Amino acid sequence: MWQYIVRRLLLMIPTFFGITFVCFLVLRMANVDPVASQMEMGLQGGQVSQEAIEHLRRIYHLDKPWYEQYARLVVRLTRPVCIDYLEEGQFTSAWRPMSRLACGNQSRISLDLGTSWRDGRPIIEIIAEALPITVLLALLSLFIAYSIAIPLGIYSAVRQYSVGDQISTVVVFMLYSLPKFWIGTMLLIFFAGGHYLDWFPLQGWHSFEGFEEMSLGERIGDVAWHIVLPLVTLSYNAFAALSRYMRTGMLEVIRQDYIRTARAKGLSEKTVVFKHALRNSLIPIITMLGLLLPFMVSGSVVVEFIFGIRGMGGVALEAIRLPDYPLVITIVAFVSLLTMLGILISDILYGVVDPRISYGKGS
Amino acid sequence: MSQPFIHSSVVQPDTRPLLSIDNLKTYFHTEEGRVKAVDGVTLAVEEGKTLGIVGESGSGKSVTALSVTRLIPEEQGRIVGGHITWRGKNEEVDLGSIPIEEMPRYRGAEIAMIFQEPMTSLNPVFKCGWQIAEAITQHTSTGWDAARKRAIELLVEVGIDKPEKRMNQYPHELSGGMKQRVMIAMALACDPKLLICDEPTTALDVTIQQQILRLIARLQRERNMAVLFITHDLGVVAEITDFVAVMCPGETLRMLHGQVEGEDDGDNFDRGGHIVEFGSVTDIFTNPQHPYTKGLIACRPSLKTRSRRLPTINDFLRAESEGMTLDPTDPTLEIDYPGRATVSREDMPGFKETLIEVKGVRTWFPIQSGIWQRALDWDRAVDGVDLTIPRGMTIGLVGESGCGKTTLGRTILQLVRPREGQVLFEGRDLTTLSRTELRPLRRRLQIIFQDPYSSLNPRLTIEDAIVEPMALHGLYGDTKGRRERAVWLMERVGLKPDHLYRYPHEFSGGQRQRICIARTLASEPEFIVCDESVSALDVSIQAEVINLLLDLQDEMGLTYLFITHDLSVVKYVSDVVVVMSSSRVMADLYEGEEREKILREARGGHIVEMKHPDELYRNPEHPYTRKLLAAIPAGDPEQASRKKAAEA
Repeated sequence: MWQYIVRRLLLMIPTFFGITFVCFLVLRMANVDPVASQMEMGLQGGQVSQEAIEHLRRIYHLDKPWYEQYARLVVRLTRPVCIDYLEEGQFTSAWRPMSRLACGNQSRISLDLGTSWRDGRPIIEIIAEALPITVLLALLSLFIAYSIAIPLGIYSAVRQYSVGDQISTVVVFMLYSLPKFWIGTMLLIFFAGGHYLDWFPLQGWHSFEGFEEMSLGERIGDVAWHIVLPLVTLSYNAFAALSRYMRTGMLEVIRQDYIRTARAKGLSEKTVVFKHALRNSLIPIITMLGLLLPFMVSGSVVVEFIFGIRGMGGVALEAIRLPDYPLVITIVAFVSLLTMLGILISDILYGVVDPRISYGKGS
Repeated sequence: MSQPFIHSSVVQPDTRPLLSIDNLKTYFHTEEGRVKAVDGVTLAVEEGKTLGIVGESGSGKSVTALSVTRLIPEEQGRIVGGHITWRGKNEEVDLGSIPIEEMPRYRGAEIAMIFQEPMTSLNPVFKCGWQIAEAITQHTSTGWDAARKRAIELLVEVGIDKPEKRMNQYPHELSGGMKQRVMIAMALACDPKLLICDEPTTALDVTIQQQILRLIARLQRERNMAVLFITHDLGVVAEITDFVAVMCPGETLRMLHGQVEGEDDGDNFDRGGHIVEFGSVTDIFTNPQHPYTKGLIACRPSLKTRSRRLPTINDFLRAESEGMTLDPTDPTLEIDYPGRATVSREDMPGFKETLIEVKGVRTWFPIQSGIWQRALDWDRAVDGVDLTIPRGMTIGLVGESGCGKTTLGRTILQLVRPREGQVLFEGRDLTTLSRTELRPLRRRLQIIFQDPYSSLNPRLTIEDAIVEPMALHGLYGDTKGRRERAVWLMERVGLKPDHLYRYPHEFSGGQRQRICIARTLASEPEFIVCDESVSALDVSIQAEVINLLLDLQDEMGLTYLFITHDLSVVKYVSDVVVVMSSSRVMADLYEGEEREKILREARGGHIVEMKHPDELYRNPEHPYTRKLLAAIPAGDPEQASRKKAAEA
């Protein structure tokens, strides 16, 4: 088992470089000069000289050949350094407790990922702000999607072709075919802003005023209140798909020989379904977990845009528009890392649920 | 319609039986309409007796058993008539009409079941011990610890070694025979009065089959339990049962009732599966009345069979409808049928000349582990085999699962490449040829697989499937020539030319295997590996397909490597029988130091004995061969009792 995990983690390294390389190439081929586009306004107004632009290009190493640019990028992404220059309080993010765990209270560890070309902020700082929001949204909506999809799928399978099953089938297909931006906008119109119901806030993921003064409990409540609509928007799609998978999986399991054996033992229908069939039918939808995680992160671009939340989606959008090479590549790297971890976790879970899957005995 | 062949007197015993089924009708509702799976079955099982139900697939024998425990999914099939009277621990009850919610009280507690596929009948995600203990706690007030203790006792009773260890193992960690033992332990958990066995040994090797049959017989005796034993194999019935009911799919009998085979428009005889004959096991074997029973007895090749072609059920039905009577126990019974070969393989050029030579072949598969997935060990599937295959002959290859017989077949065809050794085809070493160099030779070396369901692409018409190999090798000129050849092939294997435009799902298992044979013949092969090609078929269909293969051999001078685990079939078809085994399989034959020596040697699949079939069966030298031969089901009750006496 441990050998398997180590092997998978090692395999991530080449994958990681492959992804960043492809991303780098695509950006290069887009052939947009980031400095020029950034300075366009100034150039037209005659406020920025051609020399200044050339200078900036040198600073950003844009005058170097492509392989050197990529080499610099790789070095930057993979050089973990212990830094002490960050002032107390400047860094308000989920990274702090993690770095404390890694290095103890005295020093803090961080990745020097370079600075954004746009505003010169350290990239690590931008990501540290945005990533926890996106991860929180993605994990919570996954949790919600699974916890509705599993019981609904079981119900639909056990009562196949019943009125309840047919209604849920229609509703699920309707939900599945509706686009996120439309659902998100409709939710805003009907449940926020006061046209119809003013139950939820319009924008942001916490209140802008007075959030600092709140106690921990109040903060959690505030955030929860803010992310209800984004979560619904982000999860309905996955929930619809998952419930269909669950239904199909359950129907498949329920006609297996071992279910007949369970009935022949004299078990009640309830035990047969919830004990003997459930665990087997979970196997296919657990594999979905790893595939859904990146889906959720990309879905959050739309959701964050609609609900005015500055997560990875929002940051990525801005970075690509500019384009802000270092930031784009770092975001892609993070998301791909997240995806690979997600797939690894679902593979491990697969082995936990199904004893027939063996990842080799650790020696 | 009258039922002239039922001995109704046997059905009514003096004492009231434990289970009596009275005119049971279970119908299935499919898209094509109603299917009368069970149509008027009447039988009785007495306390402490064993009743066998025999019949081909589609005869309704399993549905009868599942009707008793009401395990047929309601959306598929329903009991539409008749009574199932159960006289168990409580008063009399009609299991056919009580609400389904009350069934769990009887299932497992009074009527237990074991099924055909031990591989899939245990829940893969729960430990074996837990599954047995669950059955105990379900029907008694036993606590969990006591139930576990009882489960261990049951495992001992069904003959499982290291029961404590097995308790904590998952089903996939056990062998097929052991899983079936666990199933039996689970069924016995609450001391049922009736044990229903639905083809419990069909999926197992002969030696394991024999062990399981003995186990069931012993448990039946010791516990004075009634057993309802369902099987398609009359040989098995002879070993274990007191009474036999022969069930038959209704449409098989159409011919007997004045209808020509293949015309399915008439409603002259639309009865579904029912019992055609009932009697004591000796009566059925020595004095069968119904032509279907006779056919069933005759079509199974026994060790005594001497005829060049096997009789089939259809032969008996045809003879009966023409007013003739055939003796099914005559080992030299020869019946002519349309399509029988008129030439002999002996007249073919090059008969008995060496076609293929296998020299010192080892095919090992790596077992990878560690972070870098290095091959740390080898699965020695084929471990040093020398074999000569002469042209026009049939080499029978037998052995238990895991002995490497399939891998050997595939190695000869170069579907897997050996690690060592040579495979000479007409003197050319196939192992040194590249894939491109092999391609023209592939036309001449073919294979027919076991499962006719998964070996045909469901999205290709039969014509596409048959024409493809011809087109691939550029045979028969153009599309027109190939189509003509396809029509010829279909007729040759006994199908109609207009079947060419249909898809595989429209055919029965036997028909599909004929299609597979036609597809194999399309490329005009000289050597064919038949990898368990008849094992999945019903006995009567099996006889027809074997006849077809032998006729094709006579006509075309084909050479067969006939791989099977069925020792009666292999004796019947082969010119030479080759027995394969491995150290792991053979270690059980020995004890003490001898056993250690064999296990240390750890040799993979190899040939232990190779002889002319008559010689091998009369005079087996190797202890492993002797053990295999001893495990063949007796075939008739007289032989069974003789066998039992000899062992005692």
